[in-house]
Amino acid sequence: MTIDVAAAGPDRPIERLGDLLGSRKVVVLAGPGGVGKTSSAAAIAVGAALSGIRTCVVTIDPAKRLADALGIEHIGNDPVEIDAVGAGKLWAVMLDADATFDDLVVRYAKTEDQAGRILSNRVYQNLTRNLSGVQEYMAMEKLFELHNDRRFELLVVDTPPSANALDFLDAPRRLVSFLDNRVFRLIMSPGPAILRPVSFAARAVLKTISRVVGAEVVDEAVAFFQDFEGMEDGFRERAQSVQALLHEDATAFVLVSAPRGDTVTEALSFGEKLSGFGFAVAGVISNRHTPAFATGSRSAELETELEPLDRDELEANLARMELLRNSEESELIRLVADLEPPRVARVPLLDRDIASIEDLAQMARSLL
Amino acid sequence: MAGKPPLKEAIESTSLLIVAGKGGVGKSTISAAAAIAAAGLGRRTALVGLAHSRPATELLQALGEEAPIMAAISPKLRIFELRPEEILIEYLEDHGMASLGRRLISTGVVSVVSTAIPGIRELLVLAKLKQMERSGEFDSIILDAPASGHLLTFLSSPKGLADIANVGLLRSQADDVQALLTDPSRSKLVLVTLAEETPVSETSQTYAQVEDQGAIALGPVVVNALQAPIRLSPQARKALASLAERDDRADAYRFVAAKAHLQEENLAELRRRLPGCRMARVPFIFSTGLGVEELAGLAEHLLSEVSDDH
Repeated sequence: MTIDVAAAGPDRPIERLGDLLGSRKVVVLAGPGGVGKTSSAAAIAVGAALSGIRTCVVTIDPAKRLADALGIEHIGNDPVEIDAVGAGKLWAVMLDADATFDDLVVRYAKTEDQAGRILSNRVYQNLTRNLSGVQEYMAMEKLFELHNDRRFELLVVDTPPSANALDFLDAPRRLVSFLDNRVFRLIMSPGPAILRPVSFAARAVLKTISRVVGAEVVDEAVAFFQDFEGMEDGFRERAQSVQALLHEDATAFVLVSAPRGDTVTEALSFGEKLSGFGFAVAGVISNRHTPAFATGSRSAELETELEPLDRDELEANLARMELLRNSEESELIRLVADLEPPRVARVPLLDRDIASIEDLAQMARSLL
Repeated sequence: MAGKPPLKEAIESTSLLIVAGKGGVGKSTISAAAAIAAAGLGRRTALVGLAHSRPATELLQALGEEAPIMAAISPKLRIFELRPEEILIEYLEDHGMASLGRRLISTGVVSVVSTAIPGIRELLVLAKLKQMERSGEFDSIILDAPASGHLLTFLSSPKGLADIANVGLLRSQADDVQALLTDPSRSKLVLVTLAEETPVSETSQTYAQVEDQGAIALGPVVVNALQAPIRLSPQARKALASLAERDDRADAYRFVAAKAHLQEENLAELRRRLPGCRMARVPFIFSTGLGVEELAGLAEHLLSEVSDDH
């Protein structure tokens, strides 16, 4: 299949992204940093709500004005209903990844004591920040929970920006294998936690590691793994359910990009990774396109209103924009030719920052 | 004070520059351009990327090109990509623990340890940079750092580790790295941003947090991808707004002017939030791909741009 983007016209996508909304329950937006994923997610959600779909948008760290536009003030894991979206219903939630992980620990711990020990362990606190993809995975985890919430017909999920932004797809596996590590299994033979004898071989390894990192650090790591014992199963099952949800037909992945060389290259590698995990790219959003202006000759009125100096400056700027627009077109073609997505939305750059639901609705019109 | 170009000054006065910023602001591009600039000044330069945030492949390829423009620069410039696990193994070997190193690899415990122990991955990278700095092989080391969301974790790792590890080899490493980061003649942070809402607010926040924690000395802030300003009279602006409805060209002008105005507002906001901070302005490159020519052009700009701080 060849897609002639140029023939599709400035704001007329091949198949409309909006068509996705009726048939899907979950739309996941992924893409490189700085391309407007969060505002795209918010705009899709506003557009869906306006068309009468009960929608919840899951965002991570939105810009202040965007959060204000959505009317969400605080980070927290409970969806907040947003007023003033016409007839539709819209909720938004600003994800707190740390709290989500903490909730899981509390859920799978056998006792309150066990949960308390884990939550205060510095190795655990570090894990939530440093295990690559954990934050992203927690977004998926939250998604799973919201998916079971009857209030919502559609969930729109923004994935956090990170160097390896698709880590969330692999994170459940990585998390489980981290918790399962056999070296630490060796350390933990059966018996009451406090009296547990550590095997001789494991002791030797630990002793050497202690020489490098100091004994307290090792003690804390061992304590963490001992406390976590028995909880892996819960985590594994949960991870499998999340994976299953992502693979359902009702879940769509949309790749967000911008028409710049390095961004398109990054987006293409995202696309490759997605298909590596067995996901199809249901659509592409190419954001922040320099708009095309139909620039006929200057009217006499315009001639009289502008100083020649101002006019020359504006003309020079327009000419540069036209050049830029041409190279953006070739970048979009490069992106689409390689990914062959069924839907492409080209979103023009706005001349202002998004500050209201109306701005989001406007963006939604070119998106959907 | 219209002083020396801010980035040139930072390059010449500091051995390690940590270049950081939000995703999409052109951090890797500025790192590469700064490295070319340093090499162009005759300094033996290392451009360092991390496995998780390495300079874009395109940039590396561009730098590897045998372009005439690079002839004088290439001999002075080396490119590294650091991986914490490899540094750990190398470190253990250097300290007579080669067999432990092999054992750690074969049991897969390296990744577990490096994930579980707070700050160890970051510390390993910083320790390696410290070693490079102390080796005397380089006059300038430019690090393309992790995205700013992870920057503070990265910079505070030696302190955090020193707090919990009282003894051991890593403790002494942590102390050495801390000494490197707190000496402004040895290291500085260069934040890269755009004159857009989110990058401006994130950069200001990061700047303030780094300053509060005294994590590292702050160098100039690089404002990337600036378009030429358009300063219309209020009267002209008004005329455009009223004509835009029925005149396409006026509408185009209005858009261009509004974008330029937004950029000025965001720049003013950045200045307001970071008073006294030196800023290096980098022009927008009207090209979607960045080859070695463009990078060399940026490098030249970084060396010549005179700061307009007050």
